[in-house]
Amino acid sequence: MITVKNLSFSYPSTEVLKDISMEMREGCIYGLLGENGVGKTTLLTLLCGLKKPKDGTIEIDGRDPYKRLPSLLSDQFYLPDEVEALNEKAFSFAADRGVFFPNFDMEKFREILREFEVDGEKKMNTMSAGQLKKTWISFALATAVKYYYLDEPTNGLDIPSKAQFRKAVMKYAREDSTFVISTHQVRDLENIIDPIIILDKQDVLVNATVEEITSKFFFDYGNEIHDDALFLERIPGGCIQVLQNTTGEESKIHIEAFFNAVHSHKELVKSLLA
Amino acid sequence: MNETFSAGRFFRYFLFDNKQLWSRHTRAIVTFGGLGIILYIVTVLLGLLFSQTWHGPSIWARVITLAFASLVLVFYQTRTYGYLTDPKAGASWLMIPASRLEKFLSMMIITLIEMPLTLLATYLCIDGIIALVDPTVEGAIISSVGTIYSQFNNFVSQNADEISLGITAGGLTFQFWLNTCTYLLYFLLCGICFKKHKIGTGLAILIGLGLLFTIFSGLFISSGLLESWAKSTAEGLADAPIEKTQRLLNWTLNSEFVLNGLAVIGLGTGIFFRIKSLKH
Repeated sequence: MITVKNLSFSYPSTEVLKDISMEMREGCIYGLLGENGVGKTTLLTLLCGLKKPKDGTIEIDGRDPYKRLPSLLSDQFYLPDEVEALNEKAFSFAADRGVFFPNFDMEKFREILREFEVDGEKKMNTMSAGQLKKTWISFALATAVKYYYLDEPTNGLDIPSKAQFRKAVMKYAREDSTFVISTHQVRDLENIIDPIIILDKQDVLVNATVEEITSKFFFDYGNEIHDDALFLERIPGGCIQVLQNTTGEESKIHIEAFFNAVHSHKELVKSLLA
Repeated sequence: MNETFSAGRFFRYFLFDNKQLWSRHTRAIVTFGGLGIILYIVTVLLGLLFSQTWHGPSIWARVITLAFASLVLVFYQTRTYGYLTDPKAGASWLMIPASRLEKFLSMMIITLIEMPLTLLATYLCIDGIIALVDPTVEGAIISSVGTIYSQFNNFVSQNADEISLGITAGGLTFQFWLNTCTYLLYFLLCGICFKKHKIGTGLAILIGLGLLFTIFSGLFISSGLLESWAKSTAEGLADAPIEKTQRLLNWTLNSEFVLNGLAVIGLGTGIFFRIKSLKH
């Protein structure tokens, strides 16, 4: 369980996170969304202990991540947006680092690499950006840790790889693993992220499951325009509208439309999902 | 799970750290160690060119080259763990599941023992091979060091009644190693503190400290305090028996030993806290 209480963080010239509180449960894949500069990456680095909070606390199963205790480090994995290109072969890289993770499975690493069509005998500093990212993703999943913090994991991946990524996460992650995935590419991850967290400048606008969201909001994909739509976007063959769900009717979430609706009706959305 | 130190985890981390180190720096260390070959080739070529004689470098030239290689190694410490200030590599290193103490200890062993010994062993081995192959080189450094060691120790023991130096050749070597450690740790600390111009900034701070020391020394000397102290000491030494001079000499050697030891502890503590406070 991840517990964030009154978290604040600022860089010398900018205040990024202010009095943020939230909880993240085990076994969920959290989608961390927000505009540029709201502090998504900062939050991820705070969660994994790469930064120290200015105020407030973070607890991962009762432990402070900034202390970087080996027991917690071996139970979490942080994948940055830009990964390191090491001067070693992918297999050797995994064998060297895998020893620090009690659940690491080399066979699983080979299998995921195969599915991603990456040559494990190739040196990482000779790989393309996409291959390199896939190698790190494969290693992350093979460690079978409890907490994953992934920053834009689908950046740099080609279209088939994005689908393979979703498949690999669903297939290889432990059932009790918690993923916090920061992304702008919501369509890449639309089918796997649940719950959704939307960060705003110094506020958490949404921290709710897809079910909670669709119980309060209705996603209309029809042609009829509603005047009371919180968000409307015309697409070929119709439009997407986000409406308040007053009838309890079921609909399929459209994360991008929901994100835009949240941004234009912050207080309303917050009060509805509170 | 012991969160501070576990022998098994430390061993795993130490092996990992070594592999990372050698994959990044083998070429550089071998180059520093191989400076003796470069010196040999240049000396022989110059000899052939200007005096048409085949003659290898003298032992002093080889010792000076070794000192130069050691100096390069001292500056090179800014690079050994310099990657820790890089956001990608530094974050990756911080997330390796080992405790801060284990990472620190591994860093110390590699910096203070492994790298200097590797450089020294490589250099001396190459020097020994050159001396074996070419008789014009006048013996290997290692054999000369052995001779100097035994001569120094013999001198001290034979004159023990007249001069009682509380130090041996081994002690002096340890003193030298401790002094080298101070500089190795200083540049290591610069490497993990500064993001850019690591050597330049490190040297600038050293020069700055030197200037400050000179200014304070100047103020102290101009105050006249030193003059009266020097006069009394000189008068005291002139009249004092040889034991007093020996005591002063030993006191100076011991003070240097203590100061170097304190510097190593201080810099080591600085490095530990830098590791602890690293953020990305």
